[in-house]
Amino acid sequence: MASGHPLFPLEIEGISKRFGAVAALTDVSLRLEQGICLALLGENGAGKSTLMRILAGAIQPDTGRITAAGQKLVLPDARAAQRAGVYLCHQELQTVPQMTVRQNLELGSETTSFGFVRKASGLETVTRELRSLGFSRDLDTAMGELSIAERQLVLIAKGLRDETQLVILDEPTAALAPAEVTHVTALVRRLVTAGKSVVYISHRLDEIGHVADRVLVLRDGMIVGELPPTASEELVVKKMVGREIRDLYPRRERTPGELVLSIKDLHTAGASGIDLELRVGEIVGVGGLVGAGQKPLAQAIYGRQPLISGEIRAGGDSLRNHTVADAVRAGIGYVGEDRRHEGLVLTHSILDNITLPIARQESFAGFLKNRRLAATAAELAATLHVRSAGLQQPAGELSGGNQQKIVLARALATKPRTLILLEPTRGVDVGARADIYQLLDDLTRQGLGILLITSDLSELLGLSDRVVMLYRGTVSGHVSKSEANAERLGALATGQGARQ
Amino acid sequence: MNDVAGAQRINGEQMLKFLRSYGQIGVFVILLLVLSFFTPRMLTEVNLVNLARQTSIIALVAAGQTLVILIGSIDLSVGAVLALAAVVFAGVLQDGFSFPVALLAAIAVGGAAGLMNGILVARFRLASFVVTLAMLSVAKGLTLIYTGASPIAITNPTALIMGQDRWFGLPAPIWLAIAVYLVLWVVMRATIFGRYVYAIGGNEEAAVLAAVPVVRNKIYVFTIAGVLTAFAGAVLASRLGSAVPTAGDGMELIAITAVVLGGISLLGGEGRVWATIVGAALLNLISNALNLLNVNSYYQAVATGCIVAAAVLADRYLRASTRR
Repeated sequence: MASGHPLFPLEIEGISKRFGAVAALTDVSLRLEQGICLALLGENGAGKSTLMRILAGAIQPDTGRITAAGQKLVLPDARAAQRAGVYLCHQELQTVPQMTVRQNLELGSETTSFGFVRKASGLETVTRELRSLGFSRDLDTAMGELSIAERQLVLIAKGLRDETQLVILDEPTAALAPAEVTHVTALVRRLVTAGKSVVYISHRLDEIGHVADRVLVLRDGMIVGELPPTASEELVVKKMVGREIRDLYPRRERTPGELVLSIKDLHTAGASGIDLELRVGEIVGVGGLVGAGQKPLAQAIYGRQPLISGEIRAGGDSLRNHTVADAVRAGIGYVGEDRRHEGLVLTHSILDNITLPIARQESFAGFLKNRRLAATAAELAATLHVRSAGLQQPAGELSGGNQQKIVLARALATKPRTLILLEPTRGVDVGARADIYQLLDDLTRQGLGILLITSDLSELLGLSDRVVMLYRGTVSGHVSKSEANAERLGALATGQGARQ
Repeated sequence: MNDVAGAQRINGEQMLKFLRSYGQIGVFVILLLVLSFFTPRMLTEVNLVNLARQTSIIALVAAGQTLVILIGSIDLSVGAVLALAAVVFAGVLQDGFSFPVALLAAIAVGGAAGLMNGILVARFRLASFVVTLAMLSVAKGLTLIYTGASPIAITNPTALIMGQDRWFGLPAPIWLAIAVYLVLWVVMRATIFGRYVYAIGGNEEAAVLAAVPVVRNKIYVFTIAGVLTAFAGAVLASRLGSAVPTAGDGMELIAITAVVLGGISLLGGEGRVWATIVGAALLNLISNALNLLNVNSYYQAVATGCIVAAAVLADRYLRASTRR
């Protein structure tokens, strides 16, 4: 048992990790003292999550070692990490919704006698801290009945247990409104005063200043420097991206043309009363907090989710009770938010993935016209600068950015006029991001209208010609490019400042 | 990383990939050679033809299962539908109808069972495990009702051809199995249906979003599986000269085992159709060898189970190391 053994100073020395052809971490070293909050900054795909999952025993590094108070620390699995006092709070809220708050708090560290679960001791501290933050729910409430913010608090509070020495928070505030964020940062500071250390991963630069004692920046799997917590936003972004962020977004004027998509008073499960228009040659951004109705809206347009009422017109067709095939026929292309789940068949070749939606057109009597399909795939792969070992390479072996390009190519294969993109650069490295942004700009010039759904505020500001903000399933505001700024969009995202 | 290490790593990966694709054939050949060393009768013509014939029947039964597993589902009703089709085949013959009519009747019954499975799984989104378990029970019951639990003899000489004749020196079932797999191979490789089957099994949500008619294709798969199972049932009845109501008992597990031994992923989307033949051959080889070695049949079941578990373990290891 490593339990009780001091974890600090925790030293990570020369950690490297590769996934297939991608170097996720290269020779990363850092030292962590007791009782501090270390903020880890970096873009999507910079390696933050990989590093933390290594600390939590979820994956093994290829090289390098970890020492705790001078002793070598081996973390073969999550349980070993837990015993060593490391607690990882995942990006996705990993709770069991059917179980109660108490059971979720205990999960993984239940006290047992002879295999029977005993009432856990040591939950008092956790409960007290939760209560002091205004958490009023009963511990026997089912986790699923809690709001996202409440669930997040419960998960972080788990880190208050006595055995825990290091709490890792992976984007704990991604789905929270500003008022709820203050609860989380307050809880993090409690953890630190209780003598625990916290590694805090976030994209929200403003909250880093409140919560962190040290700030480290990761880029492309390497630590590129340490900044003071008070560093200016420009400086931090420059460190993260490695260049001025202005370069990232194409800055050319776009002129909207004819209407390709118009939505009137759309109601569907999760979104209601949506009005939206999209023209050729423009990018309309859709923003909001996580779960504000972006996905239901996109899926309803694409025929993946039924409409309750409302009107969708695309390319002259009126869509109602339509299937995905109908939407494709009306000239709508769709790129889902999670390319592993919604986008790619990972075991299949690049060729098969790109040509999946057009296989039917390019076949005769059921037999595929392989040469035609290969030609189309090659052309699209070239247009999108897909870097691969050839069209026969399985999609699962590609980097995140290249996978995303494959998903885009697949959507473009049907020659759409409207392109719906959900989080098109999630988990994509900077180089590929710039490629994708450039491509989107080019596409608008080739007669496409793009509906860009993203939770990345800088992307929303940098790419959109107009922005539609959603709040709890309804439109909270339309903002033109000239009026769009972080404060205004932030206010609309949290339901404040809606226009009269 | 330096170039030499990189090249070695790539070579290593290619080796693993090759093993994953063709490893079962290697295992089969090695096992055959090793076993022939211990049992001289292994490599005699009689035994090899016998082995091939048994393999062909299992391969026919497992053909439909292969498609079902490729879309990430499972068909537990194979054995029961096989028996039902066999007794319908024999019963229709006994009623004095000609061989083609009997074969069509059997295939219609199998196809109907498969269609039912498919509709419930694809259209009503029920778990294939439960749906086909229910079908197993229904088909088994219907078989017993139809036969009164006693075998039906086949006397029609035409109907006995496909089970008992030799064509070009080999038993007919071997040729039939080869024909079925050739057709399946072409269908899976070159047709849109094949492409869709792999896509649905590989990532159903991605297939839906790519406007693939998922529901319809899943129903096709189950229906085809039913038809192929029925055909296997008719061939088996023809070979035995009678339709035995219990002929299909446990056949679903044999079929699934053959597919898995062939290296086809139970998660769907991955694996080649011909691999099932290799799986069926491996399965047969094991029991054939244990027979020749005079191993008690109770121990044979234990040994087969262990070998299957080991094969799946090896497959998983190879799969994990060829993917990130």
